[in-house]
Order: sequence, then C-alpha cells, then structure tokens
Amino acid sequence: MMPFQIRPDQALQEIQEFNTKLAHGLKTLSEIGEIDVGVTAKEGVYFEDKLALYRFKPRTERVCNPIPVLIVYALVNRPYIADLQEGRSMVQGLLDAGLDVYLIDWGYPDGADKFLTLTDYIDGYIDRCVDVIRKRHGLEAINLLGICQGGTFSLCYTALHMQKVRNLITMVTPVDFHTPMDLLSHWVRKVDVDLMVDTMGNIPGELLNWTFVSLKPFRLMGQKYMDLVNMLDDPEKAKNFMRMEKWIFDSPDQAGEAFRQFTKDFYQQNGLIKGTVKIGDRNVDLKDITVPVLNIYAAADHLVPPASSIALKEYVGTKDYTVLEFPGGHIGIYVSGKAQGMVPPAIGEWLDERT
Amino acid sequence: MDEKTTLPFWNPEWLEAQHQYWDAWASLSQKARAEQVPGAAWAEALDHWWKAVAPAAPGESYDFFTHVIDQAKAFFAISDEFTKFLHDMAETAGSSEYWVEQLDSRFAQMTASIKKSHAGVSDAMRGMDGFWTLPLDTWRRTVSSMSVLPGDILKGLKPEGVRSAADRFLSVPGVGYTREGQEQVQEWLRLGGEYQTAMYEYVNAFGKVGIDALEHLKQKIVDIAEEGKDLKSLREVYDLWVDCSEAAYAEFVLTEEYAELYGRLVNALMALKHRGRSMVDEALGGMNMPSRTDFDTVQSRQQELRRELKAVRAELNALKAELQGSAGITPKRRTPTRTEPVTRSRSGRKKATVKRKRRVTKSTGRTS
Repeated sequence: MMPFQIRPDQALQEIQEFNTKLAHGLKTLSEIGEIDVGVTAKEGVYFEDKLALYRFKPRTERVCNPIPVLIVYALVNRPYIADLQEGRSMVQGLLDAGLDVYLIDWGYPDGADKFLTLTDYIDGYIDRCVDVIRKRHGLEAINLLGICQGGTFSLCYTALHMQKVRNLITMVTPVDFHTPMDLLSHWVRKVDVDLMVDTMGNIPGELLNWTFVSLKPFRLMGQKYMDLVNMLDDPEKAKNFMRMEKWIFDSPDQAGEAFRQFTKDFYQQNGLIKGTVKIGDRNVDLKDITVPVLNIYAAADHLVPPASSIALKEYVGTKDYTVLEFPGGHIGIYVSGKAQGMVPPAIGEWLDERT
Repeated sequence: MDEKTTLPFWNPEWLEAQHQYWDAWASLSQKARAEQVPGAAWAEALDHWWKAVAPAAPGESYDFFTHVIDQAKAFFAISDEFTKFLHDMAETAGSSEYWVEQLDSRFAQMTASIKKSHAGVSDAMRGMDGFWTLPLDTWRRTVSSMSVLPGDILKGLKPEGVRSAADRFLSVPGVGYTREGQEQVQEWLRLGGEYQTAMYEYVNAFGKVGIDALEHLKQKIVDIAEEGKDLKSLREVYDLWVDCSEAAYAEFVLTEEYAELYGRLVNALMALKHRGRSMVDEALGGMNMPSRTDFDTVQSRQQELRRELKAVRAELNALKAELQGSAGITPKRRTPTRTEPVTRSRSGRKKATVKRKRRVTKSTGRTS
C-alpha cells in the first residue's frame, strides 16, 4: 500500500502554517538583538600575547576541592561553548561540583602569530599558565581538563611535564587519528599541507567552518534551518539557536605553523600513538603518562569518532584509567541538559576520589 | 492597525498567491494532468516575497535570513515535486502494485534531471538540485571569502575553454626582457586551468551523490510501505530526504575516490593562489615595497627571538630562585608577565560569512 497519506488539504495547511511561521519568525529573529555568551563571572589572572587565563568565581559555599582544574580548550572555535548560557554551562556544573576552575582563552591569532608552533603552545603558553596556577595555589601539580584538540595538547603536555599534572581529564579528544570513520583524517590525507600553509599563512576560520559543516552538509546547512523555523514562535528558543549559531561560525584563524604540524604529525602520520610527535626537542610518548586519567567521549560524536578517543587506554601508561561514555554528540556534551546532569558531577566525583 | 500590517515580513499577498496556486492544483487534480501546473511555484512565490521584504532585514542578518529562505525554498521544491507525484498517485489509487511503478517512473525522471544538470557546472541552490549541491555551494562561498575578488571568479569558466586558451598561450615561448613575467602569467593560467578541472570533477562527482540519494529514498519509501507505516506530512518526506542524502553523502566521502578529488581540489586552489602571491610579491619588489615574503622572514626571526627571550627569562628566574634559596631567603613569588592582549572585541568580530577583505576592524578590547 502506498505510504503517502497526505491529503491535499493537509498539505496546504502544512505549507500555510510553515509560511506563517517563517514570516513571523523572521520578525522574531530581527528583534533578537545582541547574542550574549559566556555567563559565569570570571577574572583574568594572566595575559600573554592573545592568550588570557581566566579564573571563574565560585557559585557555591561548598568547600572546594583544593586542587584547581585548568580547562585547555581547542584552538578551533571559541571556549565559551563550555559556558554558553545559564543552565547550559559545563563550567557552572564544575563550579557546583566544588571545583576551582581556570580556563585558557587562546584569542584570535592574526598574521603576527603565524609562526607559533605547537611547541610555543604546549611547552610555552600552557606551561606558563600551569606555572601561574601552581604558584597562586602553592602547589606542585594541578588538574588538567583538555577538550577536543585541547585534550590532545593536554596529553602531550602531561607526557612531557608529568610533575606538574595531578590528574588528567580528556573530553572528546582525538588520540588515534586513523580510525575508519574519521572523516577529517580521511579528507586531509591527500592535501598538501605545506603548500596550504605556505600559501595562506594562517588558516582562515572560514575554511575550517566549511570543513566542519561538510561533515553533515544536509543536516547542518539545510535541515537545521528548517527546524529553526519551527521554533521561531518562541523567542527564547530562537535566541538559543542563534547563540549556538554564533559559536559554530565564530572560528578563529589558525596559526599557520601550528596547523601545519598538527595536521601533518597527528592527522596524516598518526604520530601521537606512534610516539613520533615532537614538541621542542622531545618526543611525546603516551606511556610516560602515569597520573590518573579520566577519558570522556561522546557516543554519537561526528567530529571525533568514539574509537579515536577510546584508543587512549591502549597507549597511556597509567594504571588508574577511567572511561566515561556520554550518550550524545560532540556539541551536546557541553550544552545538553543530559550533559549538565552527568558530566560535571562525574568529573567532580572522580577528582574528589583522587584528592 | 492589525498585527499583520505591523510585521515587516508579513505580506498576505504571498500567502494568497500560494493559496491560489493550491486551488489551481486541486482543481486540476480533478480535471487535468498535474504537468500543466507550473513547477516550483511555491518556491518562486517565496522568492518574490523575499525580494520584496528583504530590505526590511537588518543588514548584518541578511546573509543568515537569506540562508533560511534558501532552505525554505528547497523544502517547497521538494513539496512541489511530491505533491505532483501524489496527484499521479491519486489517479491510480486502489492499485497496490501500480504505485511502485509510478514511483520508479517518477524517480527515473528525477535522476535524469540530476544527470542533465550535472552535465555542466550547475548553479547551487536551485530547487531540488540546489539541495544536493549544498556542499558545493558552501565551498564556493568559502573560496569567495578567501579571495580579494567577489565570488568565485573562475566559476563561469569551462575547464576545456581555459585549457584551450592556456595551451595556445603556453605554446608561445617567453622572449625578451619580460620573458620571466610572461612565463609567470603562463604558469598562473595553467594552474587556473588545473583548478577548474579539479572543480569540474568535484562537482560532477556530486551528481553521483544526488543519484545515490534518490536510490536510497526510493528504497526507503518502499521499505516504509512494506512495514505498513505512513508518511503523513510533507515535512516527514523532507526529513526522509535529508536522511537519505546524508547516507549517500557519507558513503561517498569515505571513499578513496573522494579523498583524491578533495585533495586535488584543495591543492589546485592553493597552487593557484600561491602563484598569484608570488606574482604580487614580484610586483611589490619591483616598486621597492615590502612583500609578503619579506614580512614572513621578519616575523619568523622575531618569533625565534621571542622564544629565546622567554627561555632566557625562565632560566634567569630559576637561577635567582636557586640563589635566594641557598642564601636562606624565601623565594619571592614571581609575577608573571602581564601583557595586555590585543584581541578583537566581541563587537569587532565579524560574522564568519563576511568576506575576509572586510575583516579589518580590530580593537584592543579584552574579551571576557
């Protein structure tokens, strides 16, 4: 039996309702105004070049875990996704779990930052931020929470500076860059990265945007906007959509040399698990990581396939390894209601047990 | 004044036009063949409406609004296609076998349409074809945003045309004082031809994705029928189409063939841009003006000096601490360098869709 049970009058009504929502909705959009992001109060405690190190102000009276956590976000996109809005903030969740939270904001690199290498980022910026926090708290070592590419950086940093890291948490972090479903890795294999960086200098954020929406173009550039029309009668929902839209397309340019090294050494050569990545004059060997590790991945991650993150267990040297699966996607792990109730409390508990 | 007239985007004539279209369709469904109904009328009506009301859209949101409208047009185009199909089905209602034949026939027509549009470089965002060329459209916009010239300047050129012109030009050896310059232009033209060829191959490959997506969709509809389930709204049909398009796309972009195409496309674009940059550098050098290459040398040396300075400073601080420690003095807390960051303020940060050449506004505001 033919499965189309759409009567002409129903189809007409559907189209008319859609038209009405669209017309009203565009008015809603035009009146939304400035989109605010990053809701939790914070103070800048260290600045260097474009980088800012922030400390979030506590939200509870609860006694804090005495070991602060430094969030190392990716160079790609902006870290305010971790503190997007009231009720959709991983940072707030961590504060509520009694943690003292710091975050590195990399800023927007420009032409003058073109020659920043991964050594500058990992042995330079991250190391100096860690030192600032250690000195502020009079501690030998602090907790590190690396997100996405920031997780990869945190793995490199921990392998090279074990004495400064008490516990390591990685979230949606690529480790094995050659897993079968890794589209980014697959696409970049035949790209002449040297030619690209020599030509472009810094890699434009627009190019990265294109790459990311190309992972699911029909959903991310088509269906998503159809869904938007259906939620435009609610200004709050529309604002939430626009907030996320702002974040998705708020892509800093990538410092050319760091991009060259990350793409070639990690994506093309899969050097992190082979032990061939060099930071400064030292090789990164994941077996050197013997501090406790909590590895959190998203089961429906379209950017970092779960297999890429899960691989960490096989290569890391620690005997205290915990893995946590979040039943959602790469973005949902920061902002979904499910994530708010699951991820930050789990991190808090895991750290409390090791403090 | 009622609510309708106070809304800047409200235009009852648009709805009225669609209402009339539907009436005509409903009437024809009883009297005549659906082919007599003008195709994609909903999408066209929306297009006219948007052109009329677009000036009321805030400037900075215009691109975003346009994108939403483009997607609505794609939805209408799909709705149009399927309502025609439903009309045909209505005439054969009651026959449980015949609808599958009709489905095959309709999908064969759609496949032929895709093959036809991909015989040449098709324009993105044209109804249903536009939906399948979404990834291509996004690529063109990206290339445009990285270019000093508006749009994709090579878009309209056929690779065979460029190649033939280049072959003729390249066959003339460079002579005289300007020999080197002539050769550079010849090389730039050759690379332009290579990029166009790569783009052409890439676009054509996406025709295959469209055809595969149709196959997925047809099979999915048959599966739904066999499971005894129904499609009850146009939106359900649209969502099914998105799922099938994503499935076909995902299969294709994981192949070696796609990795080769993608690599060739990006590499060809970069080679072309690189040659263009070299030519600009040559011209600047000829005018005794600093070039990109000069700046690169200076910036590279400066970065190296900064690294050395930071290493020396760290070593110095460590030595100081060591000395103070051995002298029984409590080490003084080292104050980290506090350099005011030079970052773009939130207001100075342009939307990603804004062309790079316009992204020059900067401020010294601290992000927070």
